[in-house]
Amino acid sequence: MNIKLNTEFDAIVVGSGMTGGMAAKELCERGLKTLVLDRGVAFEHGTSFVTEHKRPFELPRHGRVPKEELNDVYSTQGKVYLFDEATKHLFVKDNEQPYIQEKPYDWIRANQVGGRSLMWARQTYRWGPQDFTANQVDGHGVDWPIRYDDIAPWYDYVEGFVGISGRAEGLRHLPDGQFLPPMEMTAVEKNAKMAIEAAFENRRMTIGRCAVLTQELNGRAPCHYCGECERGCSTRSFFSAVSVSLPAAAATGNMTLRPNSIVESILYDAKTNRASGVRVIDSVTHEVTEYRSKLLFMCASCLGTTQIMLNSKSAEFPEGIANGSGALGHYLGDHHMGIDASGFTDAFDDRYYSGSRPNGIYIPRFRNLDAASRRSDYVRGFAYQGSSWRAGVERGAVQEGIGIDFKNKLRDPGPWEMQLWGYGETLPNYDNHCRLSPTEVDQWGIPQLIVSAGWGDNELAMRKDCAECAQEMMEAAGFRDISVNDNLEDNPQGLAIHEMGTARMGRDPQTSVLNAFNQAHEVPNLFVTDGACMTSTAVQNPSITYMALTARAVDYAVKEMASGNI
Amino acid sequence: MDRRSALSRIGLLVGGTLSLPLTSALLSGCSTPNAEQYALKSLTPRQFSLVGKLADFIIPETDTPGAKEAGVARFIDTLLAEYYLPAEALQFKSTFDAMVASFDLEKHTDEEIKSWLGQLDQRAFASDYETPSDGSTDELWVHRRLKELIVAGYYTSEIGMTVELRLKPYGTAQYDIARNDVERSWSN
Repeated sequence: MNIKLNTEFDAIVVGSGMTGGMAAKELCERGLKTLVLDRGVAFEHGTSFVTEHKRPFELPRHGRVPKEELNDVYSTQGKVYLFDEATKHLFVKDNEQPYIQEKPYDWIRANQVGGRSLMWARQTYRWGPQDFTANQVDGHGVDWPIRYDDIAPWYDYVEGFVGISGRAEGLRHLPDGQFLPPMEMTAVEKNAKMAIEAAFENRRMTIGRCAVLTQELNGRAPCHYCGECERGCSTRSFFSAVSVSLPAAAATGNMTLRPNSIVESILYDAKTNRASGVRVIDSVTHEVTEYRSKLLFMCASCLGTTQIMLNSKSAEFPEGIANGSGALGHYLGDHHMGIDASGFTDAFDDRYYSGSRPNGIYIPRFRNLDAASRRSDYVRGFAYQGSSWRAGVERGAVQEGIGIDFKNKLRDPGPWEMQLWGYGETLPNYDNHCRLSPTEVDQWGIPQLIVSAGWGDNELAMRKDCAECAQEMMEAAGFRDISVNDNLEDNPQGLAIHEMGTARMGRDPQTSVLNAFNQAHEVPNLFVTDGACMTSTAVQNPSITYMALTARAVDYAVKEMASGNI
Repeated sequence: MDRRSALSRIGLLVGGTLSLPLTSALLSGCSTPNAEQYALKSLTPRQFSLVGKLADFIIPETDTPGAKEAGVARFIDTLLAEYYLPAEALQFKSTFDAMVASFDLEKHTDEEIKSWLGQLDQRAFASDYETPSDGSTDELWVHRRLKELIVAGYYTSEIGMTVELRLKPYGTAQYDIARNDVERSWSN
């Protein structure tokens, strides 16, 4: 095999999404010549936003992806709530990039530079002090090596850069951040908030905290409320790596971004006990290049990073680099979802809205926070996202009526509906894992990933309570025709797209892969800052926590380099 | 739209929320589709013509254009060719043929067609209607499918979204306003 060698970079970042973009920015701003590798295709702010602001009638099938293509090409990606004719190009083709589901597992993957930061749901919630002590308190998993106070200043730091709109609520367990002005609730949401907070002493409803600007920030315009962030945001109001963090990294002159770059493995130098670089296969030409650097940041997504590390075998690390503990690949967890509550109301027929709010409402966790909210049937907790709207013309498709009256009736907005969607914490579990297939490889010769993850008794007990609480809140808010569905079957692990763990942080090198600074216990110049690093899942949407950990890890790594420790 | 609202919708308007100010250029670019200019992909010329005719009885021309002018038959033809599985499209078309064979639209007055269609619609959307569990199809089944397609096609067409209804304006979000502050339901 003809292998090229490149030694010009100080640091390599694998992945260019939510955490890779942040790592690139932080490393480049500190003066390191940084190579950013992404296995996806090139993707540029603006010019790559090919479906932005397109109307349904400007799309050949008004938004639909042919059923045959869904079945044959996008069998997993097609399950994502925002997958359609205007977004399908953002996802990998499952038939071209196979993985093995030992149990049903939806691995949602991006097809381009910027990764899933282009399609994320923008929700940004800090973890609270209880989330970093939960493992220690109830004995599930290992203790986090950090506490809230360690990460709080880094939340401040990244929030100031990302731009988060939201309302300060003064909750200890869902700390306030550096907020831009909050978005507004509908009349129905305002009423539900009042009723729920009056009926239940420790429950709160707040407007979603989201990474969409409500006022100008660093030259980025406030949101124009087209409501389709995932198609690309020319005004950079919606935070993505492509529109915000990668341009900041590029502006330093220190970044080299290389798309179509599949990292096959991490190279290890036993003499220095360092990761000496990475071996890259060009996805198009299949050409192989080895890049060397002093520092390596793995930001390839939870399962992507771990697949590479497991495939990085040496005499010293026969089971994958930095895997002396055997924890690599284990303790995979996603939030459990699929509890939906909906109801209707006629009390606000004189109210409406204008604009497409890229955000909903949030009901923070209220269980197992203190003695009064302690449950005997499960540990940890759940939260809800939600939204309300008036039915549109789509209701005409399932109603009786023809002719002029039918057409005129649909000129009026339909009844108000509100929904709540539960999300719950999943306990760390050794059995939930990924590993390399001993026999199956992909088209680049890399062993396929086998994923095996399911739910435990704690999650199932929590779901019963989550569904009951949703029902009683919808009743308290006065909705009619309330229905509550618990559909776990169609929501296997992975589909919440909050997968975490598999290279967890911890205090003990015997039981964890990374230390308190996301540094591999066993390989000092190797850092993992994507979802793989997480020691527990909490219940909050995790991206802002990954970004805070990334910025903190870069700060530490560069200081360690300066003092000669790396 | 937030992360999960999309799931709860019927999905007719999938792929479509956006608002640009309506311009005359857009309107002038809106031509009347007809069978002569358009190469059929799935329907026969007769089926295409009957679908268009029924569509206009369900969503007729008023002070705004109706389903036929909005190109609904072309939309349905496209979906049958490019969205549904081949077996599904065949099943739709054969059941449609049976329906129009039992009531020949070409031999009835408009009033007679309206009366027949109204009764069919009433039965198809009656509260006790159930889709046959054995997978068989009948005129009620095909009417329901056809109406879904007509509503979807019309209200995601340029005419449906911008002439009949209104696109949400860009620039601001006002999330609690009076119903009467806006003229009609938003199309997106």
